[in-house]
Amino acid sequence: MALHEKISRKQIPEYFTDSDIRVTLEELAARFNQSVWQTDRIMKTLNYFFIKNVPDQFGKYYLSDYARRVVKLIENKLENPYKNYPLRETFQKYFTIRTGEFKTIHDLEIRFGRDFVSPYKNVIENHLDGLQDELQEAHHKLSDILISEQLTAIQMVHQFVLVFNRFGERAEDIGNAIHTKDRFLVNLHEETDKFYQYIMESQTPENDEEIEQINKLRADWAIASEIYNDLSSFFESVDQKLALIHKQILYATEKLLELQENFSTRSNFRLAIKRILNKTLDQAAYEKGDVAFSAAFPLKNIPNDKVQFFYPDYYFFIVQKAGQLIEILRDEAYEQEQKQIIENQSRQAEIINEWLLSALDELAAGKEILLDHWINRVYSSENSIDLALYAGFELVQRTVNEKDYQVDIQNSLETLTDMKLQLWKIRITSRPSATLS
Amino acid sequence: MEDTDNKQAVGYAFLEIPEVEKYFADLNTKLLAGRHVQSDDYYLFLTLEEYGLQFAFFYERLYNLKLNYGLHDGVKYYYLDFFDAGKGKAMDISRYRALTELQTVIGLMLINMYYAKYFQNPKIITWSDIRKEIQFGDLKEKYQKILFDEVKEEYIGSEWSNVEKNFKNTINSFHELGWVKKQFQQSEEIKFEIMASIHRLAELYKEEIDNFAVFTEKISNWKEE
Repeated sequence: MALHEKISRKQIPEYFTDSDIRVTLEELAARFNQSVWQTDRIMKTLNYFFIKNVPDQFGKYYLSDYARRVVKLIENKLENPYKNYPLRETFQKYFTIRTGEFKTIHDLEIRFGRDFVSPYKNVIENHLDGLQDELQEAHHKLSDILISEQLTAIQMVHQFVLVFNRFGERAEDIGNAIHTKDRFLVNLHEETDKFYQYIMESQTPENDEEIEQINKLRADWAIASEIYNDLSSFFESVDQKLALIHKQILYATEKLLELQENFSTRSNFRLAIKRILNKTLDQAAYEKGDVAFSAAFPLKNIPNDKVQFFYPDYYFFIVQKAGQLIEILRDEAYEQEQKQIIENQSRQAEIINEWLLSALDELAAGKEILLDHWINRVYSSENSIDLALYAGFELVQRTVNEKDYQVDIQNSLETLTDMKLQLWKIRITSRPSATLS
Repeated sequence: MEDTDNKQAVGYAFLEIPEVEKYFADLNTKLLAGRHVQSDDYYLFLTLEEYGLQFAFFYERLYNLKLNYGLHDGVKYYYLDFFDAGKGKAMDISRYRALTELQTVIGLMLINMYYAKYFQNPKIITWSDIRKEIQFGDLKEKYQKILFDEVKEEYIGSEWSNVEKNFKNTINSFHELGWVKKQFQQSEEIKFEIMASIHRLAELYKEEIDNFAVFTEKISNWKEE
């Protein structure tokens, strides 16, 4: 900032030297009552961001574009150009709609389209920033008044009134601005609604040309409503900021009125707090990252009986359920019965097998077996129909597909003795090659 | 005697009133933990507004503690206090605590900052406000001496982070007391609202503030001894 100021005043040239910087730093140190600053460190930072070497001119520098931008930003912040310009006039200048101003969507777009309206939005935002800064500044001034010890009561009241007046004017300007903005939004809504009306008024399209026409109207309406929504949400955020500023002004005003009545009490209390804080700090010392008081300084107690309820956490463990083992008593009768069945079945299988083997032996010896006779024989010997039949079926199964045996079946029924059963006449013989020689 | 009769007339029947039953546990736990109950604890505050007399009787009889209230900038807050005679049934060391040195310093610093923001509502303080106060405030050298052990032009990151940690812990306990309303998580930068109830700390030092000259003299004499 100092270098920029000197260049503007032509106290140093545009391309300044190393010694110009050092002299400026010394001047600054003297101005702010500081001992010598860490010049090398500052030079390093300046070199990195704010100054550039002049090519071909060793030891000469110029302010970088970045530095100029920063200076501009700071100047704007300190002296906001919008600070003394009423917000209402800005609103009126940029956001007023004259009747019949928009014949086509193009007219509306050029005036309020997102890209075209953005600089105006910036102006409004800068305005609000300026207002916020001013409010902040006023807050500081007000707080300073509260701690002013040396000012006389009359001077204090006079200062109050000055700051208070500025708040009043600002509040009025905000009120007017909101009014202007609301009217603008209503007008804009009417204008954008016209594009919807055009759609409603058009007849149902019947040919390609008319369809194209209605599609164009729809597209115009979409653009118009987007413009309205964009500005409406922008003004909503403006509203929120304004409401906040307004609220702050009202609060400060209220506090001021209160202070007029009890200023001396408040002011005295604040001074008393400052005094005790000062004394507390004098009595405190750094101790291992904490603070310790001298033994003379009193510490204050407060009730602190923390009621804590301890309860076990609930965990979702999967609990293994204990299995109930039932000892089944031995049922001997059932056991015997089952054993008997198994034995019978086993014995039956053995008997059948014996009969089969003897039958196969007979066949091998060249004898022929007539099945009905053979079954009768088994039946008469074993006295069991089931056994005799199983044995017979088993014999057929064993021989029917075997190449060593021949099974001839004749289409005449033979009655099995005492069994009330009839059977095809089946004759089983051994083929000559299988016959034992 | 008449006073005692009045107290007896209050009794404990109010505990059976449904709205008292509903909020009692929460209110009792918070008050005993040192909480300053104000309008943002909406239902608890309303319960105290409605049944303040009954609760005062309850705490006096059963705990020998005084249910008090403070009023600053039009904001009312309730809290439990000791009677002048002693700490009542909170005599047991586990039932009271002394504010630490750091809490006392930061608390008084915050009351001072409260007045710097006197015309703003809500009074929001950020870590940058605190840093500014330590670096550039009119008590900067004293702050730096007790927080960093030495006064320097600049401090490195780790030195600041220790100070920030101390502030965070203090703000957390002040939040529990209802003196500030915290607006940050532990990993975030400090941001909170100072509540009018922070004036309770000034109330605790009322005697020293009102008789400042005597207090200062007492401290100096003690040093000489």
